[in-house]
Amino acid sequence: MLGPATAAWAPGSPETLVLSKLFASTDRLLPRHHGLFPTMDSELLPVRRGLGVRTIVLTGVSLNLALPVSAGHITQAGFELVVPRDAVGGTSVEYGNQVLDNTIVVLGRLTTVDDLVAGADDDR
Amino acid sequence: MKTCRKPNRASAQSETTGPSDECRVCVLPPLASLETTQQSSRALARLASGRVLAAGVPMRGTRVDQQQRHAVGIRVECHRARGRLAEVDELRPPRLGEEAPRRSSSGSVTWAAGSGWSPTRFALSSRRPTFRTCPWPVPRGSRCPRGPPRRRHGSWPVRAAPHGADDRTWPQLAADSEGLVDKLDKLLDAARTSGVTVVHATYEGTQGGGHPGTARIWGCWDPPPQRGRPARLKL
Repeated sequence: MLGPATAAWAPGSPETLVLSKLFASTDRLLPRHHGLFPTMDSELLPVRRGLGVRTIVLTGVSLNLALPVSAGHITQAGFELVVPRDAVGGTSVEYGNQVLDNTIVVLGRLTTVDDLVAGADDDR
Repeated sequence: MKTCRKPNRASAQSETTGPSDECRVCVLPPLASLETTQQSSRALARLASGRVLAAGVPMRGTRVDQQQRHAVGIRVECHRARGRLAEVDELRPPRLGEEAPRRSSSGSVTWAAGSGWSPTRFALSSRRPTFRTCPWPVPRGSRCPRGPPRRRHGSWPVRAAPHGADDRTWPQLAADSEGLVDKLDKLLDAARTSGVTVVHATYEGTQGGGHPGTARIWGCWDPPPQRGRPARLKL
């Protein structure tokens, strides 16, 4: 359960830090202190809109709860949603695939990391 | 059904000389095989305004050239039945002032006279259109089932332990998400190189605040505090 598991979490706790492999100095960090979804009652979407962002690529975990709800918030706020299916996770794997094929697919565009990277290479 | 190819001289000749059973009508793939609804509507718009339906009758599936097929992002296929021609045209939204095509009980489709389309009647086969939208996600090439596919129950651990210490949630998630970090690493590197902003949305605890929500996944939290009661008015 998340309550007991996160009761001791605080800014700077090891559990709250982004994996060093995934973090770069140019990245933005948006810590939240409430709720299950980073898109609700946070500054994430309004600030992205102010920066001129139109498309959000949603990655990470999990497809069980946070990603579908966040995907709904993102599209409801008017952003285009892209979800690379191999850059998101859930448990069980079968259920994760069902969420992608039944829920995420009606909210945004499903793609893969390789396709996105190839597209990024083409844009350069 | 077979995939359209760019017509060679022989097939182009058959187009101009008369009806042929091969590669005559282009049909859309099922909606489920398109990536997005937007892409589908774009494809329909291109088909409706492009040379396929504007080329006159008889219309030729091979009029959609390879470049156009790639531009709209659809896989164009040909069907052997002549009647499919009308089914394709059903996808075209009626133009301004034009009466929409009607399907009779006998399975034929008619257009109003003077609608710009001739002949105004095509015989349809009794089979259902192959491009009918399937509401359920099905593998490409599979038939659309009558009902939604049966779901197997997942193993979301919270369901098994409504209250109490269940620490299986994250280890199970980590095990099922194996390889995710490497994929993310690759994606984020490409994003940064392309100038895309990477935002990490993390959770840092409640900063001493209480109840983060009533979702059962939070587990052993006290019930939310009652913040006052409705006022009573004494008359």
